Amino acid sequence: MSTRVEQIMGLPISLDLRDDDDFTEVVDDVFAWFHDVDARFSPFREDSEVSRYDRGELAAAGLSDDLLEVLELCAYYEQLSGGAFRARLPGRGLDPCAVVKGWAVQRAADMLKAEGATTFCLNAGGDVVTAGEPEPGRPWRVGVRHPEQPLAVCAVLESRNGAIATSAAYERGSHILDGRSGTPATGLMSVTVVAGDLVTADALATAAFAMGEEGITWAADRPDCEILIVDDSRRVHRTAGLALAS
Amino acid sequence: MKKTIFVVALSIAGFIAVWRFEPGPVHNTAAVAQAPPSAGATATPAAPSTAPSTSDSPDATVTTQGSAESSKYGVVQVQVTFTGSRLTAITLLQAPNEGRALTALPRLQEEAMQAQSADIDTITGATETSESYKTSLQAAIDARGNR
Repeated sequence: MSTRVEQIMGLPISLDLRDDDDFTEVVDDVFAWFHDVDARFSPFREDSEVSRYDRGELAAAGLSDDLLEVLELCAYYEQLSGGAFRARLPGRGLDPCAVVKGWAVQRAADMLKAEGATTFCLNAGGDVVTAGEPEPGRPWRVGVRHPEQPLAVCAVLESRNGAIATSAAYERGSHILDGRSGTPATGLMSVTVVAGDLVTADALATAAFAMGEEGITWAADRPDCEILIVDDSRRVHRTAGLALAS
Repeated sequence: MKKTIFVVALSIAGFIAVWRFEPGPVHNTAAVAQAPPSAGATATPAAPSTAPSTSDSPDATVTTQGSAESSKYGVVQVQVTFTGSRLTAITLLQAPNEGRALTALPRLQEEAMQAQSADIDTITGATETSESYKTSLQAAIDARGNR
């Protein structure tokens, strides 16, 4: 059992590992991976691969497989959301952050599993991957932050092997832009998506938030995911299959 | 009696407004019909207290169908049943066929009240920045794990 918290990519990343064996080495690798992702993919670092590619210093043929994968994911979700989700807005530089975080955290969870870890909860700035059960017969309980009260939750979800991500505007202001208009997204207070992997959960949550009210039906129509959305009228919308803790 | 009909019509209009937010087809009609009065009160705040029962016996059952309303999610038509002045059932007669079931009735405050009592291992949707993290629920949970 071990717990570790580090501030990377401007986010607190915490790992709560409940397996009995010694996973020190892979846990070190996981946090080194996050530092590596920050160095390579941050649009805020001039020497990152993303920034160099954006300035035309790297040809598409010279990109790493990781960045190609991230750009492919960006293109996929841009198309799926009808342009509401966009990694490159007119007049702005390339910003794949919305995909990179979920992708990097899911990769880290896969690293832990590949080394035999079965029971953990990895949380990067509120995007969560869970594995196993913290106690026999009890799933991980994931609180969904109340959109108006920082120290309260508005729902508690149960999760075993899965991923949960929430997009909202309350922590960093209106930082999610609707790619179709280039203006801050409006209509929703928060979007939480539960999916099998964090790449899907994080991208769908961001895209639905960017779409505004029509994101409610759009997210609900994605297969293999469950949603909980609070709209601007403080109404809660959730899919029937959402696993709420009792 | 005219006033009763007016109130019922208003109630139906209220429900339709809610159903307009109900984007999916609704396979969970039963759940809605069984919603406690407090949840139903969101849509029909006036019905229980103001519906006069001058010409009705106190427990008379009245069932009324709303008109079929087209919304951007498809056609929605509800049927409501009152026992005396109390709303006892809502049945969805027509609903859009596309999309998945979504529940839209519970209000944030009611959801939040229920959630406060549960134990939590982690938090989604919080701790975007180190500044807010210092005062967040997630930081408290992580600190608990480190003990």
